[in-house]
Amino acid sequence: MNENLYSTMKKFILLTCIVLLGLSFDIRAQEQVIVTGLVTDANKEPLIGVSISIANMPGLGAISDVNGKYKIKMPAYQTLVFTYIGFEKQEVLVKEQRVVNIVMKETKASALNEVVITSTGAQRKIAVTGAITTVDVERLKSNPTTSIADGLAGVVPGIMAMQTSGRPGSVSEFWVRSISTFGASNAAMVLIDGFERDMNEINVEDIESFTVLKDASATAIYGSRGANGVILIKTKRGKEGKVNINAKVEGFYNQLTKLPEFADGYTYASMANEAKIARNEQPLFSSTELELLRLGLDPDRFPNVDWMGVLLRDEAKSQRSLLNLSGGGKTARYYISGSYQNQEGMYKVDNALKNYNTNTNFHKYTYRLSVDMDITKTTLLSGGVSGSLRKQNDPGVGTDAIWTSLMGYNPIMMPLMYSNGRVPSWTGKDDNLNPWVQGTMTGYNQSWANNIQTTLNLDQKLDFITKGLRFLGRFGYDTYNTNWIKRFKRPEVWNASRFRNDGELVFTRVAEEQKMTQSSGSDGDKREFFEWETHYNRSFGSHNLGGVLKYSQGSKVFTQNIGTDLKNGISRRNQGLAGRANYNWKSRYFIDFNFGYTGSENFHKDYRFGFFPAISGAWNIGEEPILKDLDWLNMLKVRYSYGKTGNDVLGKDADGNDIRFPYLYSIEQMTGGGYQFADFESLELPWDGMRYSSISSPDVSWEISTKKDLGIDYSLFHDKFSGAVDYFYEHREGIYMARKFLPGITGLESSPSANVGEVKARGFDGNFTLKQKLNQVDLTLRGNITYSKNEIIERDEENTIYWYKLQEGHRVNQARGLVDLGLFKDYDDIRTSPRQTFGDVMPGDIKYKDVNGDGIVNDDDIVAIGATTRPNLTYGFGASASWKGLDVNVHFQGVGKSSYFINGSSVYMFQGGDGWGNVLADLANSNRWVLGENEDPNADYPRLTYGPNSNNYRASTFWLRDGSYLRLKTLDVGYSLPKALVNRAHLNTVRFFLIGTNLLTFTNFKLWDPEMGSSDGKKYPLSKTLSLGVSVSL
Amino acid sequence: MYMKLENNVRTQRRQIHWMLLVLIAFCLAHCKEDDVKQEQEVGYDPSKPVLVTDFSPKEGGSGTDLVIYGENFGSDLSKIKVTVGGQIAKVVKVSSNSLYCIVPMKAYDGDIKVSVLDDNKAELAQAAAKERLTYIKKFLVSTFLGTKYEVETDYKEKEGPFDDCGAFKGILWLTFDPLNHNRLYFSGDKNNARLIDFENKYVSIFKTNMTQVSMINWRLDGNRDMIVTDNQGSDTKYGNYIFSRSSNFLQRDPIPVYARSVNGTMIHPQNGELYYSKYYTAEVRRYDFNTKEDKLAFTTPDSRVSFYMVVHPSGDYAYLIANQKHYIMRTDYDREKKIFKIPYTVCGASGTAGYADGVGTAARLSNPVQGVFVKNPDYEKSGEDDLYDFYFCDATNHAIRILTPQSRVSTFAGRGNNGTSGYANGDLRLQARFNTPQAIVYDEERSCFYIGDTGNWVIRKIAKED
Repeated sequence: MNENLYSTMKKFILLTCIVLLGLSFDIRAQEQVIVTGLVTDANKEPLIGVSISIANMPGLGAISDVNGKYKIKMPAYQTLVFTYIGFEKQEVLVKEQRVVNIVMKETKASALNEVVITSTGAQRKIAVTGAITTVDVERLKSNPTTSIADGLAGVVPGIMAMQTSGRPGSVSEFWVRSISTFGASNAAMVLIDGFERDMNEINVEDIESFTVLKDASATAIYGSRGANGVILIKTKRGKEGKVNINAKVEGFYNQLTKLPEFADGYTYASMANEAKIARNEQPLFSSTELELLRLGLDPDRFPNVDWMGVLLRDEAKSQRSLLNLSGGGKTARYYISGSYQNQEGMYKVDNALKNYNTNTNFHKYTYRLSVDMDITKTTLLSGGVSGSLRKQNDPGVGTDAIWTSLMGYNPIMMPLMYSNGRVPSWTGKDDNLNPWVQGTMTGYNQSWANNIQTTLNLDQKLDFITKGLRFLGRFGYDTYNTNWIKRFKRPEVWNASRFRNDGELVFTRVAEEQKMTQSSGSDGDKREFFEWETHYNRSFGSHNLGGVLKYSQGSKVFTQNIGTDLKNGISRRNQGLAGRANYNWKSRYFIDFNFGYTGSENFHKDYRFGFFPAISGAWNIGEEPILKDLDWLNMLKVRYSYGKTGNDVLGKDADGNDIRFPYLYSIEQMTGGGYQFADFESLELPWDGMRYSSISSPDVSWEISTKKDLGIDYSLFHDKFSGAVDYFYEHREGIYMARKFLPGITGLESSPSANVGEVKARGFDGNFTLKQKLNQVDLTLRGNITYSKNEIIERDEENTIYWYKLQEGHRVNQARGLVDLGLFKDYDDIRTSPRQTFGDVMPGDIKYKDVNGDGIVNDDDIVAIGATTRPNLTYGFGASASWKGLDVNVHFQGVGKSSYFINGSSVYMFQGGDGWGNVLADLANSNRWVLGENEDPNADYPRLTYGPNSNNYRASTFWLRDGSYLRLKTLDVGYSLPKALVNRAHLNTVRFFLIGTNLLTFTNFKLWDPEMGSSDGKKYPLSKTLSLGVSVSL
Repeated sequence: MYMKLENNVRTQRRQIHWMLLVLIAFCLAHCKEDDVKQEQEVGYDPSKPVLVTDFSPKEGGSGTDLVIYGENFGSDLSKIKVTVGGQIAKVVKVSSNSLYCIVPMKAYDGDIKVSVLDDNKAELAQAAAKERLTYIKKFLVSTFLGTKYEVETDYKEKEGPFDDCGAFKGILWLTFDPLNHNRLYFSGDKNNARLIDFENKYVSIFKTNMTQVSMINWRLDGNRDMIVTDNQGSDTKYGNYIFSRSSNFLQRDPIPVYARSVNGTMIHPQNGELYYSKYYTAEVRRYDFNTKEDKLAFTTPDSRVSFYMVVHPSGDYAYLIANQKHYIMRTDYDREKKIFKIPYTVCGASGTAGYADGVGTAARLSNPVQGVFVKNPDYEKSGEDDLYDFYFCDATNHAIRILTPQSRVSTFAGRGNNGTSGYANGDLRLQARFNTPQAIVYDEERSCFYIGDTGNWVIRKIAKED
């Protein structure tokens, strides 16, 4: 079998060689001539590095030298193609002449000719009527992480993104414009070359265009899933011409942006004593014990360990390299790319462990092959395969467990090792193990994920039927697999008692040794896509007509771990018919009608299909005859759109599985609570009957979003100042939710679901670009902003006499809590204030506002405070300048209207009352209420308590922090070697660059990185990265 | 033209050099080694004198942590000797200017001396503190019997001399043989009962042939035979058995009354009748050995509770300890009818576990078990009616507590330094910790308590230092 395969392979390789040789012989067989010449610009200055290739011939071609001269060997009667960035392409047919001198003309870049990729193909920007943003792909390239999503915030107007963890391999969450549903899904749909695929699968360098579709007119055609916005990514294809090779190598140097800083052992112990004494309890540590701690005389019982320092390194390195090749001739073109990325984790490793690595790391390999073939003059067939392999390594207990214990272990809790060599641990639970043990002695996890995506496209021009008619067919097949192997072990761990017995330590074994055990798992899915489109575009004088009709169907099925439930093995399918008709007169007045008629198998057949129409119009004021002659006005366009889109993702059930087929009921056997047939308790004879575990909700259907958008696109002063502003309004109806507040008298065991929620969102986004040339310096200023606000109009919730307790009328995920009035000044203050019902209070405890004025402070006084954890305002601004070979690019990114509560064991100091939880240095050093020393009612932190304190430690404005920040997201400095020098080495461009990310952060929040939006900081922090690299193209 | 370009190239070359420099600097910054910060251990310097400048605390007893300050102590634990009051103190750690040692027992004089030794343990230099430690004699908790296993699976059940007798699981009730004070028995619930022989310093298994022994008690009449309670689950089986002294407690005869789930028993110290409590029915029944009559004495308020019973030496009243409901009741004795009367709560709150010292129902207990009446010499002096305090094991509070005749509950031992469970000897409240102590007995001859430290599987001892 294998040998067979071998011989076939051999034959295949041989065949390929013969074909290739044949090709080259073919070239040699023709008459070869040598053509020379000079390439200059309009000012007769020689142009260096102009690429000269022979049309329809493979090969490297030639480049003009430092004097603008070139020499190329070629067959006669072929066309020479001259290309140079910033200049228009020139083609010259070589007949008998042997010297071809060329004057290149500079390209006239104009906003009018800019092309925008839309849901139904490329369109001239001027003709676009929907709210569409095209992103400059160059701006995404400075992002040092392995996922594109991390680079979106503050770069793309209309996208809000949040990087919530810095763990290698983790990805950002992002959403388009506003979260306008509390239902299941608020994620935008990402389409790569027309198929719904993961954005993080793709390399920035392979992206040709990146477009965000924001309003209904742009997304209606997607019907289902279009409600949350659509991101279109088009990958690069091969271009006719000489072989183009690009290579890039980058090295990164990562540091954590902000690590939580903790108090040292002595401070911790003193504060623990203070907390005890403040509540009239005996101090936790005697003065002798404090002295032992201070002098380090009993490192077993009173150690002083800086756990962060023990486990975390100061820096980590990572690399990225990629290579792509493209080229081709008139009949076939290709594009091949491959990349490798490697991100190293921040944990220290035990060098004694030579045979495996416990550090967190991440490797990603990607590849992409695509071929375009002109089968006939009117038929274009394109195929492609792309894929990725991700490998990830983690310590045995996992990263989350490590951060839990890093924040939980205080400096005096345990030594790194006991003096007799025993391994200390708080408890035997995995996430309570000593952080050093977790990081180095618990084995390791490995996981792999691979993705293979296959694409086939057919583009047939049907001009022979009627002019302007085109057919497009598209088929995609994706498979995705992940596997993990967890090799877990744990040493025998011990706990030394608080006291010595006659001078000797008393140990308790907390958990016995676990030898390395292995477990594994896998997951996978398979997707199929099929689409066809018919396009029609034609102009009749001043009347321009266009139309698209599109049919699509897709299915996704999980191939592994589907359990016994039959419904998990059923493909998730959808089907839709969509269309578009557009008309414009003289490119001045535009009208567009879009529709999607989409079905989802999640709904009962009577409610399965939804019709989502959208209409939009634009008036190109700049093209009006009166204004057309204005020199300073290049483009001015007003757009308006109105339409509906839908969402069929219903969220997850209590077990974390996707909700499917809510129109069906489920019945299960009762466990416990059945009828007891025994009359004597020790004889258990229950009979577990059957019950509805979920009742059917037959009328569930699409969540529908009505969107309006008013936008202006402009370009002024010879395209020096351009931009767009959009105002948007969205009304989401029929949000799927469980009717949790049906009264018990209905007798239902589970809540039925219905499309009952309603949310309104509005906001604006915009961007501008200012380009100016100052002497020899090209200067560009950029800015963008997205702001949105949403409000719950209706939600199925329990009625209350206090309107402010309802979620209705507030933002989705609005923060809620009590309103603090500082700290109690003295006992008189406590006596004269409304009674607080969360436990006894003393001076120095938090005083709350009695919002409803009923004389007591209780849960009825909880109101909406602050905003939401996820920001409602995102902005970015930056500047770039280039001068000769040097270019500098600065980009700032910020968010606002975000707030979150801080809590957890490191903020609610000594909350556990058992020693678990470290104390942040900031809390130890700041203005804290201290009995007899600092009885300041406006102190930053309340009177300490050792143990829980239900009055102070609850959500209130006291613990609410403003999540807004501004950070220097990227600083990118590049230097391109002069053409003259580069060309000698037969290269086209060589650019060295230095990129810094997250270098500076301006925020009022000092405890940890505000971007994570974390309430307790127990997360792998984000990185500050410096990268140095070189990119070469030839 | 050509020249100009050449020039350009040169300047740009310089720029490349500059770039390279940055690159190299960048790489160097990478390679910088982590600063190794380790405190240098300072050894003993023979050319300088050893000095003791101070110590802390200034008063303490056996087991107190003591920090001694001075100079030139060296850093080698094997080359330092500390004596307090002439007794050698255990040194835990020494660093050049301070050391940590434990105050030894009987360090009455309190004079502190630090010596530095050479390799052959010969004294090189000595220094003494100017002040003396004020030594305080006090009650101390120590481990009396059994091995404290660090690893539970190392547990061995065995018979053997005091220094090699394994550990004891399930210790529930301790009791001395009333005729031989060298024999201490305890019941082990679902585990074996034991006999601790003080004379031969030997622990042996006391065979009962029962699966769950709750109580061991003694008849008042005759030979003072032993009564062993079988905590069994059938309504048609006997609950209590007599092990006769004449057979050396080998032969057993049932008390001919069926009794299911008997948890507590007591014998009236003057009249000798047996009382036993039943778990499911909440009854306390009275059995008369003379008339063989079995009748209900009273019903307690809670069924499904183990009521342990301890009678006052005077026979005037008894305490009923409601284990699962965390309170203690008192039942007074009707001398005329020779029977105990309906009980009433003296401390704790039914169903509310907690830890609080206080009077009566303000106090909080948690799963109390055995208690013992101990004469309080202060009461004799002040001429009280009732001379006895009741010391009891408050099991899941991990403490030994005291209940006075006035129903005031306080904590006698355990929960060292605001802790809860654990295993630590030393000062009753500052250091000592128990783990679920259930059994307690007072040894009047030896003036000490023995505590069945059930969770630590050992017998602890509380005694005042002599």
